[in-house]
Parts: sequence; structure tokens; C-alpha cells
Amino acid sequence: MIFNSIEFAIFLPVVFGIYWFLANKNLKLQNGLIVAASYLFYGWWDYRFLSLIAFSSALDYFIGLNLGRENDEAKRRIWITASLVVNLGLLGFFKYFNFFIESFAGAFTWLGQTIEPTRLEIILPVGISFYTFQTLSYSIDIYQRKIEPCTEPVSFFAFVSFFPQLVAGPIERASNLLPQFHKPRVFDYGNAVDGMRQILWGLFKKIVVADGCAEYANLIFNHSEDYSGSMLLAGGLFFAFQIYGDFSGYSDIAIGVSRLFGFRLMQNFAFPYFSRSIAEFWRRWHISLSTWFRDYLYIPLGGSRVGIGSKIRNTFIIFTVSGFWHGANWTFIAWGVLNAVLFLPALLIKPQSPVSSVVAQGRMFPTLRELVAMLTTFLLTVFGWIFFRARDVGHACDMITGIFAKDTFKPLQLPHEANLVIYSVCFMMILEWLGRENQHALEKLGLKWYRPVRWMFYMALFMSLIVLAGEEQDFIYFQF
Amino acid sequence: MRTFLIKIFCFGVGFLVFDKILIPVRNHSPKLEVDKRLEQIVVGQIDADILIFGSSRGARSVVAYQIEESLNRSCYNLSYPGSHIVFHEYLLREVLGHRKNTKPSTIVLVVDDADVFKEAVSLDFRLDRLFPLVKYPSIRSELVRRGQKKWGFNEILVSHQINRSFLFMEQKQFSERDFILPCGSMLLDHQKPGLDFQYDDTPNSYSTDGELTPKVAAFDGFVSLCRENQLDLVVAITPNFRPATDGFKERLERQLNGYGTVFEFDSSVPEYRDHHYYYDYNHLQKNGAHLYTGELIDEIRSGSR
Repeated sequence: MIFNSIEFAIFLPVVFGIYWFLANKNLKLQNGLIVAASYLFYGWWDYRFLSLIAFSSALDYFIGLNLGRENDEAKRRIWITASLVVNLGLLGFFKYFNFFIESFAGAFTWLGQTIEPTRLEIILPVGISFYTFQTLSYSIDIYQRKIEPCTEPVSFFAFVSFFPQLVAGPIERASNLLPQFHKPRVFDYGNAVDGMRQILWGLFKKIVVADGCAEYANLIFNHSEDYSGSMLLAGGLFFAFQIYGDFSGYSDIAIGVSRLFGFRLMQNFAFPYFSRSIAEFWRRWHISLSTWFRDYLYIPLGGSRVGIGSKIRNTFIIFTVSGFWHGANWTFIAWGVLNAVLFLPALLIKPQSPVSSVVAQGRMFPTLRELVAMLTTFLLTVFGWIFFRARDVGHACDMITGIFAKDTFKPLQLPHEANLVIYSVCFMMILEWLGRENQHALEKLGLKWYRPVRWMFYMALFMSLIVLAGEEQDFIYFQF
Repeated sequence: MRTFLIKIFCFGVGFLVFDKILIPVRNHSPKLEVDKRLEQIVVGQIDADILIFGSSRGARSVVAYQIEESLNRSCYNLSYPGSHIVFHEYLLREVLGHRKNTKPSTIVLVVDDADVFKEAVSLDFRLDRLFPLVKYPSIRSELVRRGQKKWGFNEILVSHQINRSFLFMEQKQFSERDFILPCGSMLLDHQKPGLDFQYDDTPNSYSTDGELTPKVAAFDGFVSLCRENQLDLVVAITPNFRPATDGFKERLERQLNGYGTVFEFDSSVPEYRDHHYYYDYNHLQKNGAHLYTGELIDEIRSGSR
């Protein structure tokens, strides 16, 4: 079931109604309903995936209990190793098996020995990377004695399968989300209304911006050899806005839906295209994954309290693994390595600006220096996205070469309808700029307006979801 | 919670009202179209006695006004370039649905040589012709039937009926190739630039491999509509700049199952081997169209129910 579907439009109010009217004041019943609803939501794709998530939940619940009980460090290490091996083993099997087999076969061919790889005909379970990382963080946190194990299986199963963020994040930490399943939830009007605003904004970003941009990004990437340099750059720009609208839109909907049920999820995107450096970009893009890698990989490797050589090594490890997390393809690894390279100047030269700093805070417009820094950072990320979207690394290199070598300044030859997509991107970016100091663009926008005007603005946004909808596309991050 | 639900309800009701600001946009859309033929069908203004259906072959190769002048019967060409038999069957159904009392008496279906039952990337159901006309309920129903719109929303939301192309509000213009004559035909008076015409004598024969069930069913539906309404039916094969496909005429006759006739051009006419009569390999230009239409007139005159 996807958020922008009729099925979900029916599913959500039904679950909402049962949750607040029938199961209200009974925490166990509410948690049980969340598990049932989440399994229905997830099983809508393919019911066979349910066994995998149930197994993963049961395993980490069991391991968590043992980690909590056990005081012998050697035995605790065995338990955490078991969690890592099984969870990463499942992820590796479903997601990376064919990639490794083909890469080995390719390497042998390169060395002059031809072997026929045996590919497995397996379907990648939707969202496996997301919930695997979520359950892993739970086990690791217990192992590191940061949290206590959960003793209520229903709450734990609800934590792993919580439907708003199950398939594409945010990847929640047990320390943030799990306690919320233990506390009675009270319906909060302000929270619910703002959740609805966030859902509306997320839908706009997905349906109007991302799906609209996807049509032109697909067209240009799929026929890149036919286009001029300016069009190839436009293709990269369309994809940059597609992936942002798609993924941050999904996160906004997920967070908004969670708020309707009385939950608070972490912010996953903090207006990353207004970043002034690549380092800042990575503090604002897919925050739940970046912080996951920071906490469970970068810091255990020594973090920033090591020599410059180790810092560089750690940075490359983090970005390469992050790229590989996205998919079993060399393009993602190349994307990760490219970002590590772009990250290096910040690591070597500049001190990192504080996480909370917002560009042009308290001002309407940025300074010229800020503007140049934002545009430069954005363009660098666009070149990264070309690797992310391309068929293979060669295709990405051809596109980047083409941008500079094939009529870079030739006027764009886009169909007339592309203008609407460009306007919608501009509209999104203006509203995001206005709301950049908040959790989402609509959080405070228009709250002081005359109510009918504000409602008409929301209605116009809602109408745009129907009228301006691009050709329906799957959420990009589902494939990860 | 109560306030929240009331506000959600009010928003929903408010949106239903707000949605109606799009009615002028939706209703203005047909006026921007340059091809008025489908709109004329749905308002019942197509009253010709002889109707031509087909794709670009029908539009370019059959001269409706020539038939009208020769037979002294009104004739109109409803051929749409890029359309296939499913679309033609829909058009005929629409025409008959809006002309219950004054039915046409002769239908000419111009088929795409050997492609009528098969996959052809250049042929489609011309949804783009339907979308601008969503102000008409019958068009909306067809879009729902084809899965392009959702029934419930289509009934109550104008915003669901339209799409983003409506917002441009620009008067469309005829392109050089798609100029529609008052009789509905779309003749060409030049050759496609850059073509080096080479007549290939290699014979080819028709195979039923790759025939698509929906297309065969649409053809059957077309024939059934003619049979039920007792309309003369001529299934016409137009010339190509190559020999006719062996066995294709027989295949059509089998599918007609005794109703109507298949008319194939006279391949012995030397002009059909002369590229000066062609726009490209598959389409005649104006002089060729007049020649072919002359042959077709004789066929219609002979009566063919």
C-alpha cells in the first residue's frame, strides 16, 4: 500500500477511527491494532514478506531480552554477533547476493576465465534496509547498555513494523520511538492539525513535484545520447528535485501520519538544498540514516577523534557503505565515493558549522556569499545524483562529459508542459525557504492569515494534487 | 477530537465547493481544440450518410468530398491519425449512440495493412482526443471505462476530470500535416522530405501470429454494430508503396463472417507503383487519394451489406 493511493485513503481513516474510538484508553489494544494495521499495510505488497519482518522482529526481541539479562560480556558478544549476522545476512541475501555473484563473475571474466554466474530469482522485500537497520540499532543500543530491552512483545513488534515509517523511514531509534509505545497516547488537536498540514505538503512534494519531474528525468536519462549538454544538465536537475520531492515528501507524510496517532518521529530532511557545504548537506539529508551511520559505524571507527589519515579513511568507509546501502549497483558505490571526495575539503579545511544553524536565520534573503555557497553545493549534489540515477557508471560519466562537451549553453528544448513542473519546483522551493527554520514548510506558514484565506490556500494545494499530478511513480526509496 | 473531525468534514465540504471554480476551465477546453470532429459526434452533429473510420491511412487516402460529389450522398471522414481499431469501434458506438433516429447507411472502415489485429507502436486509443472534452458526460464515462478516471471522483470532482494541460488555455493550431478539410479528410499534397523511394517487389504473406485478442474483439464489435444497425460495411485496404500482403484480405473476410465486404485497391493500376502518388511508403498523397477514392466509390455504389 502506498501513501498516494485510494487504498491508503480508505485505510488511514478506518485505522484512525478504530484507534481513537474503539481502542482508546487501552494501550495494549492500540499497540495490537498498530501491529495488525502495519502488517496489513505491508502485506498489501506481498503477504510473503510478512514472515520475514515477523522473523526479524521475533529474533531481535529474543536477542534483546538475552542481552538485557546476560552479564557475561563474552556471551553478550555472541548474542549481538548473532543479531548482526542474521539481520545483515538476510539483507545481504535478498539485496546483494546477485550483485556479488555477478561482480565475481565479471572479475573472473576480466582475468580471462569465463564463468556462468547462478543468479537467484528473488524479490527484494520492500523496505528491508529500513527495518533491518531499525532492529539492529535496538540490539546494538541494548548491547551498549544505552537502553533497556523491551519486555512487551506487542510493543516491540509495533515498533519494528510501525506502518507510517516501515518501508522508507525515517529509520527510528529505539530510544526515541519505543518508549512512545509504552506511554498512554492522548489525542492532541494541535499536533493532529499540524500532522495534516505536513501530510498535505508531503503529498504535494511527491505527487506534483517528484512525479512531475520524474517524467522529464526519465526521458532525458533514458535517451541521454540524443540530448545536448544543457538538456543533460536539466535531466540532472529534474532528478535532483524528483528524489528530494519523493523522499522528503514520503518522510513528511510518514511523520504527519504518525502525529495523527500521537507519535513523534524524528525529522528526516531539514531543507538540504539550502545547505552551504556538502558537510551541511549531509547533516540535512536523510538525517535518520546519516546519524545511524555516524553512531554505529563512524564513532566505533574512531569518529573525529583520530588522526587526519584515519578521518579520511573513516569518511570514505561511511560514504561507500552508505552508497552501497542504497542498492546493489556500482552506481551507488560511485555516488558514495564521490560524496566522500566532495566531503573532504570540509573535513580538511573548514570547521563544520553547527548542526542547528539555518541559512539566513532571521532574514528573508541570504547574503551573496551564502547564495553562492548554496548554489555551488546544490550543483555538486546534482552531479552526485547523476551517478545515483544512471544505468551504470559509464552512463553517468558519459552524461557528465556530455554536459560540458555537447552544447552546454544551447537553449532547452522541453515540451510546453514542462513549464508547469518547473513552476511547481519553484513554488516548493519558495515555501521551503520561507519555512526553513521549522520542521516542515507549512508548519507556520499562513497561521496568521485570515482563516478563509488560509483554508483556500490549503484547498488550492489539495486541488493541485489532483490536477497537477504527474504520471504515478513508485517511491524511489522503496527499492532500497 | 470532535473539533478536529468537524474541521476535517468542513474542509471536505468546502473543497467540494471550491472545486467548482474549475468548471469554466473545463468547459472552455473544447473551444481551444482545432479538431472538432469528436465533439461534433458527442453533440450529435455528425449527420452524414457515409462515414469513414480509420487511422492516418483513412484520413489521407479517402477523400470524403469526392465521395459526396460522386454519389450525391453526404459523406464525412472520421479517421484519426495514430488510432487503432479499438478507437474506431468506440467512435462508431458514439456516433450511433447520438444518432438513434438518423443512422448513417454506409460505413467505410479503412484498416491498417496487416496491423489491424496486431501490436503497432504508432497506433493507440486516442485518449488525447477525449481529455479536452470531459465536459461531456459520455466522454467522462468512456474515460472511466478505460480506467483513466475513477468513477466516484469523476462524478463529484471537476479537478479529477481535468488535468494539467487544461491550465495552458491556449488555442491550438493545425499543424502542416494535420490540416482537416471540412469533409474531415486530411490530405497531403507533398512527399515526406528525405525519403528515397525504392519499390520492393518482395512478396510477403500474412500470418495470424501476434494477433491481439482485444483488437480482434474490437473489430468484431465494429462489425456487430454495423450488423445490428443494418449499415453497409466496406472494409477498405489502402495502397502501400510495396505489393499487397498475401492472405490479408482473406483474413479480414474470415473475420467479417459474411457481413460486409473487403475492398482492396487494384494492384494492377500503374500509379500505385509510382512514388509521385505517395507521401511516404504507407500513405498516399492527394493525387493518389483521389485515384483510390475513385475505386472506393465504385465499391460503395455497388452496395455491400
